[in-house]
Amino acid sequence: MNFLTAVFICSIVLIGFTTTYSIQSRLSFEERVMFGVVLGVIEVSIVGFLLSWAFSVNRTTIFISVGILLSVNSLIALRRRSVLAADYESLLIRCKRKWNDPLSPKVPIFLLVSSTLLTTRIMQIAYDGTDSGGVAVSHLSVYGDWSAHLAYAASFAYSNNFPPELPTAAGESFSYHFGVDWFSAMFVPLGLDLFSAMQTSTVLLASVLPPILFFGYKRFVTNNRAAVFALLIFLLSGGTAAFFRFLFQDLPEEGPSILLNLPRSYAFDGFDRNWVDNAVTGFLYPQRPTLVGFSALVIVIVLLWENRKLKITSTYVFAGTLVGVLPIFHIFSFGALLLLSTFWALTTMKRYWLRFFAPALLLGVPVLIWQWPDRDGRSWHQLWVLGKSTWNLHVIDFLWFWLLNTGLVIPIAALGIVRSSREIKRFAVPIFAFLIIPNIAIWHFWIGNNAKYVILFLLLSAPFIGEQIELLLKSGGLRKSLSVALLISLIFTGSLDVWRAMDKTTGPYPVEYLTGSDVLLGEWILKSTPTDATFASANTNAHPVRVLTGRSVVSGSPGRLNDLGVDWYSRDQDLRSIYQLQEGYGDLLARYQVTHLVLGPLEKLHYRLTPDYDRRIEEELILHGAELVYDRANYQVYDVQDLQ
Amino acid sequence: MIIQRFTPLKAATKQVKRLISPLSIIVILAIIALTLRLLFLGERPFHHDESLDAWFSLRFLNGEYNGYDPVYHGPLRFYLTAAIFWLFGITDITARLLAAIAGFILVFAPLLWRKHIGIVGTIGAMTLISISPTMVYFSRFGREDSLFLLLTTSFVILFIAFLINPQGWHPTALFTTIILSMAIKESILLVIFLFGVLTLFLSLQESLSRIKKGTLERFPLLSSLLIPGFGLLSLTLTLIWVGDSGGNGTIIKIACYCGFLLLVIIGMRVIPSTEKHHQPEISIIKSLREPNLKQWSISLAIAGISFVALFSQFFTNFSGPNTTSAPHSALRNGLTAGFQYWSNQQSTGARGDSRWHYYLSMLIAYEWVILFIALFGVWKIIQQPTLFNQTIMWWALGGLIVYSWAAERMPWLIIHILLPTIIIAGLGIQHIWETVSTQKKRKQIACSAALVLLIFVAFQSIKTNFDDPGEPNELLVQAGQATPEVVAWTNQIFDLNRVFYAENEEHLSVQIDSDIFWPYGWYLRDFPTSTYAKITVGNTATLSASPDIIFLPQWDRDLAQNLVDEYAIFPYNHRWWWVPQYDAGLSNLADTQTLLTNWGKWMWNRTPWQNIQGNPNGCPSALAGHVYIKESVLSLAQKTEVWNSPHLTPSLIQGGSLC
Repeated sequence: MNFLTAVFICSIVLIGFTTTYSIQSRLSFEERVMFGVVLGVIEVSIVGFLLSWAFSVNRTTIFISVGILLSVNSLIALRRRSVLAADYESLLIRCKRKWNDPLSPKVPIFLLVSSTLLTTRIMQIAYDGTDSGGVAVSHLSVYGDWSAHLAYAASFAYSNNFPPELPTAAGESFSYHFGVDWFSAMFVPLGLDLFSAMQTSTVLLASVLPPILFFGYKRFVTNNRAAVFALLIFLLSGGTAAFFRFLFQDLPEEGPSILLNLPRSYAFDGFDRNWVDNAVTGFLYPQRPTLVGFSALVIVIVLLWENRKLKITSTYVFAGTLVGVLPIFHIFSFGALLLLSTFWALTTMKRYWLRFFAPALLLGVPVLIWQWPDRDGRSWHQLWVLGKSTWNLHVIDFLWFWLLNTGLVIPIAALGIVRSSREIKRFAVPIFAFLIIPNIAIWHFWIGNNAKYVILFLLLSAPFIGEQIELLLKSGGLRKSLSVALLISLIFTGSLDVWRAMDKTTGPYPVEYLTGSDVLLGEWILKSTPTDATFASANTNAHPVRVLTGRSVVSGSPGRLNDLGVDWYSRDQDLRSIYQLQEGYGDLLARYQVTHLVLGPLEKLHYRLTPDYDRRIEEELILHGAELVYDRANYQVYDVQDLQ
Repeated sequence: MIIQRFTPLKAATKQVKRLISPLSIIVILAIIALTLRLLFLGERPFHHDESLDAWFSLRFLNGEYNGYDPVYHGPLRFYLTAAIFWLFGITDITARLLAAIAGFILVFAPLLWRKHIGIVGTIGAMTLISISPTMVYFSRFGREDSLFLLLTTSFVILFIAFLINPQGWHPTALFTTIILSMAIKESILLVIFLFGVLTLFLSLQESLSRIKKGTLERFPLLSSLLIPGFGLLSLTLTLIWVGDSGGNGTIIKIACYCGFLLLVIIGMRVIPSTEKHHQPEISIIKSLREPNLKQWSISLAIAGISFVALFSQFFTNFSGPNTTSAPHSALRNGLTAGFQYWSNQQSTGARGDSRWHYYLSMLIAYEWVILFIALFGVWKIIQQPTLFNQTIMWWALGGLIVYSWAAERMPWLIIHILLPTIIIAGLGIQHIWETVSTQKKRKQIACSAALVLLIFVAFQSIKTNFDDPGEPNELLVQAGQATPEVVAWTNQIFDLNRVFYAENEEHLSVQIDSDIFWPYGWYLRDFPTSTYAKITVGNTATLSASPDIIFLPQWDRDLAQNLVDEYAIFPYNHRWWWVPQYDAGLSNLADTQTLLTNWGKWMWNRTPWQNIQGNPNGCPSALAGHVYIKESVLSLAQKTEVWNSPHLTPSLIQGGSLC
């Protein structure tokens, strides 16, 4: 991390922190700081995005964005300086309180430090160099999902992707909540390389998530310990698979040393028996939008909860605005908050909810329409995955599926909500919608994506589970042992997976992600091709054109395009036609406005090109006006703009 | 009406006062200290010793560390740095992070003594530790000194606490601190000697207070000057007597000195005491009796287990590295090899700067403000010779004497003298504050003067630490400091290798002469084919293998004569340094102006000066040599646009000097 990055991060925190003073709310100093990180990220991202669209992505634009926000927010802080001073004084006084005191800031500070250390470890091993000068990765999340995120971030950082188009499918609108990837891209002009930008932005956002969750959970439980339990239950979720797979299979076979080299994920088995992955390794790590989304969701709930009696207009407007911009960052949180707040509004039928819904819908719906995929991905079904993979459509399988994937989360959460106060109950009941939806509908092209609703249920139900465990623990005797056993059952599998994510060498990782030749190609493209160039290249999981340069390509990885509702099949077939020089390949190049065609090891392997193909394509392309512009280390790039 | 008007003003003033409470100032100081320690931490090229420390830490992380060898000092910092590597990654910044963290924690040491120093003095001392050029420099220097100083400070904190208000856990903490220090650096021997002698003098002081009525009452100065006066004088004379004898000679002479003091104490105890004798502030016997037998046993057991754990790599390796300096098993090496190595160093001659006044000169050059303020502290200590005051004074002045006596004089050892001096300066600040705070005008003058001095120290610190801190015109830079060319060549090698591998599917072959291998050992840690090459007259096999890149020092250039045709040759500077003549220009009193001008120019913009004899070696010089690159590799680099011209600095061997 360099000096400018440090200044940028400090500015973000300051911007977000001072933003919290724009509304009247009973937030503590430390809550304002932690919430401020997420709010600052959102603000800087939006203003930076608009300015970069108007001008370009560079250091000046980013610091002008920061400067504007700092100036405006300084005025807010100045106007509310007496509250700020009181908050600070209160913090100094509360610092002396004991750990178990609900007002003590020690627990959230401890959580912040711990999560920063853990996240830093996980992130610093994410990428590594190889002997050939290439890049190695050490986790499935980075190998898989981050390939797309790298392409999105690179498209902004290096390819001036304004107005935003999907860089992995030339000509398609950006039907993805790319906010957090844009935020990562903002670090590149400040001097970080793309990989460090991804890592740094993740550490920043992931570090504050546990304290933010703690602040949220604290409002629905009786003490700090219950809130910490809730936090652990969510972050270390993962079902119960490890009890058999680890304790009865792997541990007896390998002995205790297996803990230093865990051979597999226990919460997730590639969509066979386990579909609901651990919150950290299956959602927060690979699916980067959740880093903003989950935090923002909790912040909005805290604001609405605190405002339930005060009913201050500015708080409703603020919360509504925050929800309104969420489709840019995490569409699921936007949907979840709309669903929850609609229920709350309907049960109260008060006009003040309009102050919340007006900005939320006014800002959110246009973005939603813009992001809406062309292809309809909806379908209806019963009982989620039952009848699919190795699950049968039996009652036993139904119970077994949920026990294996979520342990006793659902019954304890239900019990917790039933036993909570009337006020909390009204607030909590709609979260069961996130269990019902995945069992009746597929709204997102693929059945596996329904796990995203279940994780929202886990996120929101965790405090009620934590509270029940705390009550059992407090009651002593046998119940105390039961509470400990329950807690272990809920966090054991996830703990192993999170521990595994901290290990650099768990088979098959680390794996070579990009070779030295790939990196050289990426550097050449950045240096020698225009930012609006479009490439024909293999649609493998990772390709240097996409992940290193963000230049537009005919097709990215088909699986990920399918998730976004893009017609991946046609694009895949078109690429095959182009590389096999089938009749009309020139028309296809023209249709996608391809300017450069890459011929490298990935293309040869993926399209099964024969050894004499190099000569054939060279003759064919050069004959028709293409130009060989790069020929190094197994890669050739043809400029096909003048192809006749 | 008037009262109503003033109420908000009063409230606002109160609010401002509350906001600039000591806690707020401490928070601000912490931010400043952290920023100064972390900002651009990885920028300065690595010093030879830093690269070795980082490399050994990496070896431990990879399970390849062979165990404690006193040449490279204790293993604890390798363990800790390895943990940092594991957590934060292996980078130049993380290699220095342990030193930075230790240096940051040190800022808070005066807080624990706030009752002795006073709150203004405490904040003053914390400010000086935060921004002192030397403290900041060596908190950003990846050697063990910052961490060792932290442990020494912890030891002193516990030592004072044990004597003033002994608790059962104090021996455990004291012994553990000593063991941890042993596992960092052999200098713990000097610390034990220094505080052992202090304990004897404190006992002597205690015994004096027991003898018959009238002795102390008649000679009150005897008590207050016993330690700072007689104690330090006797220590100086003893160390002059010990000289650089080394080995058994040193042990015998030091034992004689301590034995003599012990005899005097026993003698004093024999003299019958009065019933109403003067009550000493502390009683060492009472302190020793405070922990019970069980607590003493536990403390010894914990210290023993800690020792075994630390020197056996946490019970995993009980055999030593089997080197000349560490020939025994891991535990025996831990117990004896350190002392033997140190003792041999003491007798075989000086390392680093050979002048006895080296530390004094350096302190005056960089920390004259602190020395000046510390004078007020010394005055206060003489006036109020409390146990705390005497101990800190002993630590500072005794440290100066002991480190000036020890054969090895290196810039990083300054901080061991500087920190206690800053605590004395803190006492001085408190003393000044108490004197001036009663009068508004005096207070204003003192505050203005403090502000000016503070700005000066901060300016010096920023200049020293952020304006080319690795350049040899900084006196804190020692001969092992690599030039920026080393970093430039490292980057060049990696860039070149990437292109070379992509074209040829094999790595570049890089040979580095053993005389200039470090810090490349660290920088090229991930490079697959860089080799430590011993290139001598009888061993040029490496060169005949025709490697792609060769680094040779100037004295081996003749060995590479037959390489000239095939290779492009670039001049190269490996390390640089400056050994100035501190009194340069002063041949008689009339030349004082030249001396002051030299120093003034240096302080203002770090301009080095020539020695009075005009000897060019007095100016910054460099260990120079040449880099040989195969023409084919060079042309590939130029063709593929990865040639960064890393040889920008003109070779110092041509001109011989940077002056």
